[in-house]
Amino acid sequence: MKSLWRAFSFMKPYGWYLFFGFVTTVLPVAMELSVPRLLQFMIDRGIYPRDLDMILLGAFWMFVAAMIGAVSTLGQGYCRAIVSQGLAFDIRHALFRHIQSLSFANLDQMQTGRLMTRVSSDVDVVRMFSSAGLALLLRVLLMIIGSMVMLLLTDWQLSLIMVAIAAISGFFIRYLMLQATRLFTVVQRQLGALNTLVQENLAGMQVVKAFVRARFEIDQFSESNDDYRERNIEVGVLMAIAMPILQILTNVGTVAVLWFGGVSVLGDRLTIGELIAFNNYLMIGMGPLLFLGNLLMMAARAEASAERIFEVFDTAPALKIASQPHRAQRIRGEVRFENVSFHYSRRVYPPSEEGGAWKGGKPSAFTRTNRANGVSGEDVLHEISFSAAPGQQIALLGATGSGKSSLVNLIPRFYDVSGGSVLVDGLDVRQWDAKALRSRVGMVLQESILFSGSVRDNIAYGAPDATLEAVVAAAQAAQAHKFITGMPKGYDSPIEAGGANLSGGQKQRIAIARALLIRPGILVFDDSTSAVDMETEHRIQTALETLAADATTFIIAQRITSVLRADKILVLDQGRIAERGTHQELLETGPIYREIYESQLGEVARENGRTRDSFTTGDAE
Amino acid sequence: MSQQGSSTARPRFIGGSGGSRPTGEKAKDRRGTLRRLADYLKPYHARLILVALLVVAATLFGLIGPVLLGRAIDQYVVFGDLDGLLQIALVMLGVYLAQGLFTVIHGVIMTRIGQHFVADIRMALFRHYQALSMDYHDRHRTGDLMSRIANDSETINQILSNGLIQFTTNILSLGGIMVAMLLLNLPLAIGTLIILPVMLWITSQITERTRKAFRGMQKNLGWLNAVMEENITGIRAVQAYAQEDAAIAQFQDASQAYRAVGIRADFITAALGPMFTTMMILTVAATSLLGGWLALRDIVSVGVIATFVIYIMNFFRPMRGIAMVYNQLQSALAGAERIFAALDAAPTVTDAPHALPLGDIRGAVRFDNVDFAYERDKPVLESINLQVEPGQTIALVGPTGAGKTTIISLLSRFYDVTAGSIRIDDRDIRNVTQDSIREQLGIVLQDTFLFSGTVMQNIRYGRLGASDAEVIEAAKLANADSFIRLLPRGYQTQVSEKGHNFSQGQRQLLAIARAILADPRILILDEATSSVDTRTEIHIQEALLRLLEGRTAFVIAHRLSTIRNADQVLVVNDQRIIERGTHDELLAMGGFYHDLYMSQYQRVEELVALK
Repeated sequence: MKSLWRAFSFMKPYGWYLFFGFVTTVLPVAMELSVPRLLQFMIDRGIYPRDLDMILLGAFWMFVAAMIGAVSTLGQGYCRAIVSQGLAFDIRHALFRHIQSLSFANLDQMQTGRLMTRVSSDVDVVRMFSSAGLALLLRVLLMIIGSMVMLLLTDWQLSLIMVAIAAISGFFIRYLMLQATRLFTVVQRQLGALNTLVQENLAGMQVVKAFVRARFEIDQFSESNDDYRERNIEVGVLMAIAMPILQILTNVGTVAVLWFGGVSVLGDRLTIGELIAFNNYLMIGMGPLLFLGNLLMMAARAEASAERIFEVFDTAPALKIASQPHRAQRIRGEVRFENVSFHYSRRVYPPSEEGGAWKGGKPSAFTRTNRANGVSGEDVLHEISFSAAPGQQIALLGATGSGKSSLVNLIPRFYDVSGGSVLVDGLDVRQWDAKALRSRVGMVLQESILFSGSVRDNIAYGAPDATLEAVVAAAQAAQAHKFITGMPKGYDSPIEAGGANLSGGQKQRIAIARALLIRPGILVFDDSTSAVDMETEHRIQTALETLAADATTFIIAQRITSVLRADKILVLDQGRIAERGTHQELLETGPIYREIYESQLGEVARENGRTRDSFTTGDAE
Repeated sequence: MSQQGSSTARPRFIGGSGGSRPTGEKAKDRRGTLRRLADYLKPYHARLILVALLVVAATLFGLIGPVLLGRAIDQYVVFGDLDGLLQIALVMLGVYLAQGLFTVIHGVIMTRIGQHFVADIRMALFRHYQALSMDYHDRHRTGDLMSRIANDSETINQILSNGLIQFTTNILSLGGIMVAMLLLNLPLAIGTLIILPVMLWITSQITERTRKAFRGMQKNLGWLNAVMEENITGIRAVQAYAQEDAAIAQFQDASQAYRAVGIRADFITAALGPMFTTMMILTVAATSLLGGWLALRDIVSVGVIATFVIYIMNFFRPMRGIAMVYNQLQSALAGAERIFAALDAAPTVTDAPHALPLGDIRGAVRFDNVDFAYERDKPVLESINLQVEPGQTIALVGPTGAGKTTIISLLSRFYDVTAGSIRIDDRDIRNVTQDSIREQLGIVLQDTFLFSGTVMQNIRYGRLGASDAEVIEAAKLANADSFIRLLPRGYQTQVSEKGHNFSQGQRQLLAIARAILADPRILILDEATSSVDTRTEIHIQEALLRLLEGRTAFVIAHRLSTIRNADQVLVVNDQRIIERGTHDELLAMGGFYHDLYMSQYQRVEELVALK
């Protein structure tokens, strides 16, 4: 329960609420426990001696007890709500803030889907346990202990029965927990298998249909489904047997009390009122035992969630902040790579055992890798050296996986180099204030990420204070103005989640406008015109020459036409700069470049002669 | 709980326990849904009746206990009759044991029924998903369809294996307690039961308020999740533009709102729930006051008062239980409704009543005046005509979104044409079974879908009966064997989620191997747009040539070499085939195709000249 305790440390600011919550939990229990005593008083002092005043007195105190119980219950509810919601709010907030501070290296290792589960469902599980679970646990414990004490006070000899039964129940519950945990682990694993099967089937539906494999898929599902059902039945049967057994234990206690108590009454050691009170305490005390099993399950779940939450917290941002970070209003845009090598920290997959959660879990993938004890992946970049003067255009070419994106991601320090250094304006990026640097680097990422909000909000994402004129100018340069004004509400048109109402090319152009608007000193296009047709791309490039003439521009592209006019073309091959130079130089000296050129344009160029001829003849006629 | 399944689609996976949490949702047609659920329970009728009998018996035996206790006090303890006391104690023991036994038996039976029932529903859903046509799968998110199999069926299970029994037991207990009270002592019973309407009112208040509060929470949670999803999936953009503070502020607003409604909901559940305890104490106070007063007049015995007190203590648990089951029932019905909605969706592409299998084919394909639209009035293809001889290769070219992919989807009969007809070997594909068409088709997409499992299993997906040797032979022909052998465990290497441990080029080689193994007459190929490394590229080209040999092929082409080798090039633009012919013919024609390539060429020259 270590992580759960850690989660509870977030309760600190709510100390007083916690204290009152405790008091208001104890009070109702005490009131409830007083009832059998008062009843006993009414029977022994009122009914048998036939004294109505005593009966009235007893009833009056019960009434008082009920009222005190009611008022404190209200108080308890309030405190619980404040504490648990506050706890959840604080954890959520801290978690979200922490996630925002994580570097790309961290994010690569955690799937965003999982991160979201941590912030929403895991926090909610902890919250629910901190409210209902904790209050119930406290109540159950107080009830059991309280009724034990009351039993001892009433008659210690008879209480031995209760102690015996409680002990047996305790052992039984422990046994039950062990069994259930084991079975739940299996069920959970089976569920995971079933989910994966369904998910893959649905995601690959086209393949399933194309190969006519529905029958095969159904058979596989059927097998897994049956297995899951049988495992579930095992758990269900265990519970179906266990709960009545606990009930029987309590009832056997009642009978034993009746017999031994009856004998004691006859021996005048006990009054009838006391016997009844004893029996009632037995019921009050044993009843909650039935809850205990469920509660422990809840606790185990909450612990698993808490563990996952702290896994995130314990992931230290991979980027270290310089002691005196450099801030600058503008950057000139000089970029230099000196002997840079880089690799992604490799993710170590632990044997994936979902059920680990039930056992109290194990530290999972990322906590371990981040402290990367020299665990390294293969180098993605080797000994990269080059420099770019302010205003120059650098193009990067190469096959997928040759390291182009990794290279540009080092400029705004999304990752730290493994060796060598990256300098912007002559200063190592590790000396820069990350935010200051990034807010001057216009990144157009490979996938255009749009946020819900208007088109204008999205373009002004990096500069929320920008005027409409500036936004329009950026959109015009990105060749987005035309389609934006064609939208029903122009720049105020809402963008649906994930940009569902825009085409791929439109999304890319908005992302480009966004990058232009911050008047960047360095501009990076990471394959960001792939969905834009060549004509438009050409116009964007022409517009860049005026709007972002001062910016050092890096272009990664698949189409060779996108890079022809660059000042410097770097051809990457397996993480190394294999060739460098201008288009003309590379055509003459770079075999890889020439190969790419040929495969894309060579034939067009070669055929040129013939088609040209037919053209001229056509014109001549 | 389940880590692996969750994606951005946010399905909530419930496994094993939990799930009784009220979500505040309500089914639209409660009665109809309930009736359909009951229909599904028909096979279990006999066992359900047995369960009902056992539940009644167990509840009755449970009710007899306190009566016996009261009688023991009044008749034996007060008069000092030890033999009688022993006798009644033994009877009580027997009654309690019998009650326990009955409970165990009906619990076990019901667990089995519940699990079989949901397993059947899951199976029916999965089977139906396989039958539904592609258009349904296009329109529904994977997460949504999954959550019906995973969560919605689970909520139904909760109510079935647990809720139903609880509900019956609780109702029976309440009824039984009331009857027992009335039989034991009429005046005291009336006095005690006066409180009942008050309790019912409180129960309904709590239920209603809780549901409202939770609905509010659900709504705010939706907002919170949306903000989070955006800022976490888009975190790279957030950081690239140094907007972390704005994201945090936005998140805080949503989180704050969620907390505010959360406090309300929590307060209501936390404070009103235990009110039952207060009510209980009050009732005990009232009953013992009235009982004491009646006892003084010798109308009631002390034993009866003791019995009443036990009954009252037992009275409130069922009340709470019923309220809980009611909430559970609501979400189960909502879940059932979603399940039925999926089951009711009819496949749009179905086999004709007397459809025959296609049988062996030569591979001739004809499109006659084919129109197609996903939605009415939004044509995707118009008057497509084409004729392909067996063994020919057809290259489809044109801008993205022009309709190339739709043409090949129609040929696979993933969708049905809106007008016109498609024939394979002169047989309209609507008159033969879907499976038999697809068995003759091989599809290699540019982003290949791999299933988790071994490399061997993934290739074998092309022909399930293939031996290991045949799989390896196919891999060799696909030029995939060499890289597979270099893998740590060769053909037994596990493919990770979506095949991310293979490069795109390698995945395509695996897909080619799969297609070679399937040995189809007609091949559909979606060429990769992005460049893979040069060596793999050569491997792919080589393998493709081998694959195309002697088969009719439709290629969505991006590479000039492919287009030049094609027997026919079809230029698709704006929903139509606008030009057709060989590469050379098209260039000579000087139309759209010519412009497409000339503009590319001119740009090159222009740019080169610029330098």
